[in-house]
Amino acid sequence: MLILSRKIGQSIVIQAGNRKIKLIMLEQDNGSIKIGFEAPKEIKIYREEVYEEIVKQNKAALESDVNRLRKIKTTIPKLVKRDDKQNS
Amino acid sequence: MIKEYETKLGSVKIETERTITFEYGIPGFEDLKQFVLLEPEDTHPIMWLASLENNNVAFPVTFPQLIRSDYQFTLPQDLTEYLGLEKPEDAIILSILTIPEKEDEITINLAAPIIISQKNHKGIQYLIESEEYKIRHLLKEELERSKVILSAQKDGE
Repeated sequence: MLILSRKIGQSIVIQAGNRKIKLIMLEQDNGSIKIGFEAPKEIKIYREEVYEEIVKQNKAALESDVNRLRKIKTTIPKLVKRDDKQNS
Repeated sequence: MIKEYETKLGSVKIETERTITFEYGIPGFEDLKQFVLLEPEDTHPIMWLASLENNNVAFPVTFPQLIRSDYQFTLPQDLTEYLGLEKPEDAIILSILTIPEKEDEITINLAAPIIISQKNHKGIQYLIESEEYKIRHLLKEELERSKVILSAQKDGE
């Protein structure tokens, strides 16, 4: 792992091919650091734990099998239909 | 043009223009780019976002408004441009469900909806930056919540 030391207001530039990502150290407060990002819009920036949670949920979603779904299908439509009646 | 694909739900014949391209993939499945939205009648209103490149991959999805009646968020401009959206109806918004053995444990991801453009047939899983929506909401609780809201609206009329 590369370790760099930076002061508030200083930046780090990451270059990947012809794309550049700039990380700006904005503020430090009680062990937490605020970082600003400047990157091409097609580069998505996530908090790691949130990204990992999305990955986990997406993978868990694949365990759902069609047959199990056929069994539970009544749960949602029933309520929806009842709501339709309420609205009409 | 109609092409035949093998998906998790079996072999499907689809028109090329119904193919949805996820250029940036879906978190956890970044290598898969081509999907189709399958709507088998017997699982309605749960649909399947099925990969055309890996027939083990199909996500159960549904319209989040069916589960949370007041669901709403704003897309950033770079995304509406990327998806070529001119009005909200140009987009199909879907939420991924996780369906374990126990029906009571079904969850829905309201924090990271799937957005599909009907204009340029591109798709993306977008992360809403909001405390309100979480990756795992219990479906049961959400349906109860929506029922309360809808009946309160009805009483107010």
